[in-house]
Amino acid sequence: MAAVLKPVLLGLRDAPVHGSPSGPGAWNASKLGGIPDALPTVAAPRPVCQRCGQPLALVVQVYCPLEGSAFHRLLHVFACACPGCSTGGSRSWKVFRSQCLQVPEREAQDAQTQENSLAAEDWCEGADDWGSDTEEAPSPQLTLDFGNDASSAKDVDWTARLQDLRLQDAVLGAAHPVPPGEQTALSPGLPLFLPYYICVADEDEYMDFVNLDHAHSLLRDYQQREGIAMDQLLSQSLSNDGDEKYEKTVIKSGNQTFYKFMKRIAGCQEQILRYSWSGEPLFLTCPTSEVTELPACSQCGGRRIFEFQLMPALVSMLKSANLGLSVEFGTILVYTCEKSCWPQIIRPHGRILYYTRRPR
Amino acid sequence: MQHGGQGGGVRGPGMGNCGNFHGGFSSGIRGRGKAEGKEWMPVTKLGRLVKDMKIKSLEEIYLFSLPIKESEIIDFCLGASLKNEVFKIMPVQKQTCTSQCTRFKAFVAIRDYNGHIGLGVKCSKEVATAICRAIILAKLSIVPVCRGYWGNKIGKPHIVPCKVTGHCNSVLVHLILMPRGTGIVSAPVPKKPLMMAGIDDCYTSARGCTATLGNFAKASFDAISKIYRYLTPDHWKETRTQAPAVATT
Repeated sequence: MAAVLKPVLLGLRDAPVHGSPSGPGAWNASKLGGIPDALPTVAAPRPVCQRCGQPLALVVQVYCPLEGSAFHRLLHVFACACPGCSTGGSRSWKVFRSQCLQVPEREAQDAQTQENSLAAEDWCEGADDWGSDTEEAPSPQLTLDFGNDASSAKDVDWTARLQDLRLQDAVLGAAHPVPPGEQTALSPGLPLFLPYYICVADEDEYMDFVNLDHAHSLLRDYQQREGIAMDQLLSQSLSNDGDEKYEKTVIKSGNQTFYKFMKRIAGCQEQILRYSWSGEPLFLTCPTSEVTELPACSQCGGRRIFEFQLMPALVSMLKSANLGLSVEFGTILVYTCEKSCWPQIIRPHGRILYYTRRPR
Repeated sequence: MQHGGQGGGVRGPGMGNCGNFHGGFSSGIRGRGKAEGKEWMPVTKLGRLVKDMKIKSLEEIYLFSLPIKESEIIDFCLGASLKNEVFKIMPVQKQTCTSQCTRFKAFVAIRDYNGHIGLGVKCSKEVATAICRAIILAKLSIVPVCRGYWGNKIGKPHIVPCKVTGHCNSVLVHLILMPRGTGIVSAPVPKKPLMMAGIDDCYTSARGCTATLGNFAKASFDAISKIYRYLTPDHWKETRTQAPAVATT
């Protein structure tokens, strides 16, 4: 294991979403379920299932701008919640990526400049502070965005120009063009899961948590029963020479990959999302060839790399107000374009690859 | 100011750096460190069915030979009646070019007093870790035990219902049924699992390198688990049942 493991961020379920928030507060947040929020210049995707033609339900919305990038970046994962399609494999899932340029900051006010430079350089540090504010007050980085959007006439013009572009262009792909005013309106019959926010934690905080109290009590019982102490155990090794050998664990049911998966998530069982840009996914079962040979990005031809994966704990958290909606999967791996390409003319981006892996 | 160009002209994200995944309006820092009474989040479909109480007992799972991949399923079904016992801890050594690396091998047997038994073996650098992991493996390998009578069907079942043989590598263990009152006549190693399974009277016959404790224990455990595989006359009648996964969808 010479390669350095990339840091992994875990997504955990947080407070439920109340009402239908709009504006930058909505598309800046990662959440599960609910209605997809769209970036100001992009139409909200409304995909349909390839198998049955029903509208897809939003599973997860991830706000994940890349380090050092000037774009707001939003990923939506949709799935078909029909009973017939829940075992359909990757054909009933769709992932959309949309990006929008961050409006450039004005240099008129010094205070704002300082805050902005902080934002440009230290995006990652900001992620840790995200959770320390109270529920009511928006976090500092959010006010930055508010400031950007509303501060100057020049900024508004830019946004408006981008919006004009979108309205005039024909929108390709399966997403239906939705004018911004109607984004929050619920079309009847759209499948919906109860929305919750997702909060972020570092995997390292949960890594070393193993409860050994029970094991220690068993060890004490054993020592009492056999009448030997720990140091005698060690000395036994010198006396008997190689009768017993080291044994690799052979698991009767399931396989080694699954056992390793369970060991890795044991520290934090309620994780619903593992984010690791260009990292290694945690496989549930042995990866098949379709995962090891990834097709290139359809827009720019670049390589696709692993971005995040959805964990099985999410399945039990996706509840709907009307029963009958459910998705089944083992784990969903999302691979996106390495360069995160985004064309000059803004269109919602579709067809990022997704794989589902299901244990039997 | 950065422009999003088309295709290769795009200024790519920081190569080799992590992407940035923000949390939403988070209501405070998540509880870190030891969480008391953590809830079990099932990973497999069988786990979800068990947690929702659609499957009420282990026997339904055994009936369809569904693989049990999560040890929490056993905890959920059998719960407090499970008792662990450390069978044996022994150090094992691996010779490396510089020195010897010593690890501890833990044998843990697990039982509930109602006809279920499991055996787990795990090696690890520390004893406590080995015991902990061996407990999980023992839970995954739980099997039901069937007991029967030698002669008249008076009182509770006390023996294996038929002669069985278990083997593991070179070790063969025969279990032979005996009338009530015989007790378990065997070497100390298979005596433990037999007692845990609730078998009171048994003759055993072993063959092979029984000095290897691991193989001997696994062979006797294998013999016990073979009992239910034996098709006795009372199972000859045909029954039709529906698999749980189908029944609940």
